[in-house]
Amino acid sequence: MDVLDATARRRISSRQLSWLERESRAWQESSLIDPAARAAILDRYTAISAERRAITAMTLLAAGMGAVGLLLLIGYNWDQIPRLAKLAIVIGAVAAAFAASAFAYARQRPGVAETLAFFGTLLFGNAIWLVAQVLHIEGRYPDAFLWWGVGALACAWLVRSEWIGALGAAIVLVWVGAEGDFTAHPSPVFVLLWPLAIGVAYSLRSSLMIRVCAPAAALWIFFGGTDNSHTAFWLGGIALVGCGLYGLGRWHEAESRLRRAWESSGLLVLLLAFIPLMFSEIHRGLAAGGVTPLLTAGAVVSAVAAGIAVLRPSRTPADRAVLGTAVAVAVWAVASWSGLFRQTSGFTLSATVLFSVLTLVMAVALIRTALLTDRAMDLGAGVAFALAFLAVRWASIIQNLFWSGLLLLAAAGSLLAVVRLWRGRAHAVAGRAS
Amino acid sequence: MTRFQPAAPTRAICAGAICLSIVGGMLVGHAWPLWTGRDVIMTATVDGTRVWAPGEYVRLSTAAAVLTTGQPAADDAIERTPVRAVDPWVTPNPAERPNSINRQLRGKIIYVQLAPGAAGEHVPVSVSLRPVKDALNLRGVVTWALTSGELRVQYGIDAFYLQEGKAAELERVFREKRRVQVQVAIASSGRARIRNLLVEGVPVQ
Repeated sequence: MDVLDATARRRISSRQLSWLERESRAWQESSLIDPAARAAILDRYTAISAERRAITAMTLLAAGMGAVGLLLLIGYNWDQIPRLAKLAIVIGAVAAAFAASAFAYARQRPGVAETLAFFGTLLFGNAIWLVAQVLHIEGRYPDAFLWWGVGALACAWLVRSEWIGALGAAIVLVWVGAEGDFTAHPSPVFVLLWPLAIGVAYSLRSSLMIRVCAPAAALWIFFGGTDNSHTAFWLGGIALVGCGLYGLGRWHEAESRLRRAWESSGLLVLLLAFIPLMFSEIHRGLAAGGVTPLLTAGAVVSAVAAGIAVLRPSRTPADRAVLGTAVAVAVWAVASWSGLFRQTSGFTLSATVLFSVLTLVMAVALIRTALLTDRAMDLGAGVAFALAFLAVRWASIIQNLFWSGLLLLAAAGSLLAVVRLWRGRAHAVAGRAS
Repeated sequence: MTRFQPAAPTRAICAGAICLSIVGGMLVGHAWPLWTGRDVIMTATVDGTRVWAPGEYVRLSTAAAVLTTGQPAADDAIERTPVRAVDPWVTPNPAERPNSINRQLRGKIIYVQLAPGAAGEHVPVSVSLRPVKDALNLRGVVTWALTSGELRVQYGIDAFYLQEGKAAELERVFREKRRVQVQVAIASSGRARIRNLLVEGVPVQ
């Protein structure tokens, strides 16, 4: 559970903290650091125990179930309760939850207070839906998510709660999907709401919020561009958004959790965009021209975000691969949009090969980065890219047992090689430590 | 200079105040037509019962739910109300096939002009992208449109919530061919809300 001083201290796992305590004691005993320095170092970090995490999860689950229970009880819509009384119950529940939260804060019980505020935010969502029930409204349902999201983000920022922030970010993500379902036009409100959510995430130093909220940018381009799904700028734009999100991570310190969150979001978007782009049918169906201002703006902004990341130092193989991918995707999108090469028979094949190669390049670069920097996240992402490549290419030759067999044997061998390399890296690290 | 940092209890109170302001604003915005609007009666059909978390409701449909600015097809089961398109309205694209989806209209706000019919109930007569002066305008959102001129529109008067179990009764009443009408309050902005549902002229709630 988030506490008010959480922004000042970095959260690490209990195992990392006990390692740091053990090692710093050894450094102190070897006179490398004095006790004051050791205390100052340890004071920079905090850990959440597994027990506390479990308690937090159960408390939040209870809050969620309580809110849904109240929603269903009011949803029963007992005729005996007058309309005004129903509104009073719904609104009173929100007021009571936040008043109790304030009381708990005043009594120096930040955990209880935050849970109550979380409960209040859920009840606030209930209230939005139940007002619709009381007034017989079946209206524009994405607006309910929009206002719930705005309120939740404001609450998260005010009570400094990462959990409420994550709830708000999830509601923003759902809102983007609901808007896409309701209308064919992308909502301009996103241009305000997304930076607001990201701003709250930075204010709370919450990587969880970034992870939930960052992919919403790609989802917005996805739904906003469905009318132009026949142009290369649609899937290309989404891939460039992935590169841009990854590029944003490079403006953070190497070990920053926020950097990890941007990078993992960008890689997820890139992977999801690459899967269809490895199929030749997709490229065959693309037509020249017909790009909306939204897709153009999204693609340009993302390409610029990825491009300016070049200016950052300490590049890893994964960084270079993402930047190379951004350039390749931009060139392909412009070439496809212009229609200059559309009549060329090899264009579809070249584009399919290009994205298959890019997926493999990403896989290799991420695995190399993992080995060089000892980051398991990069290893997982690299293997995910490799498996995506394998699945798509296997689908294209699944009728042919000979080639299918060879491909799977090669894949099995490569995967075992990666495992061996990763284990070797672990031994090397252990050797260096001893 | 020290930055003002409000205490945690104050911030929790502010968070609650923001949530209540949003709910209050929505409540006033939605209830406004009920407070200030002009009441009209429209014939309703019950399209079925739905249940989800906030409660059970019947889906209502009026003559304004499905409109057409083109020629109504005689051999079609769907009842479309023919209306006149009043400027400003979307210009049809001659290059498009007649029954393809009109994505330009989906999600757009439109205004349907109502006029009293022979039985005194209000029916749609025309449609426009802007409110028409001196007419009774009903504001809606297009949820589905075809290039042939067919429009499906939501007005916020498409659901009537009832106590759990009672929606089925209302559906049965409708199947018995009894007269179901909806009493709608329409504000000057065109926004509408259901004031009540009438069965043979008797309010349900």
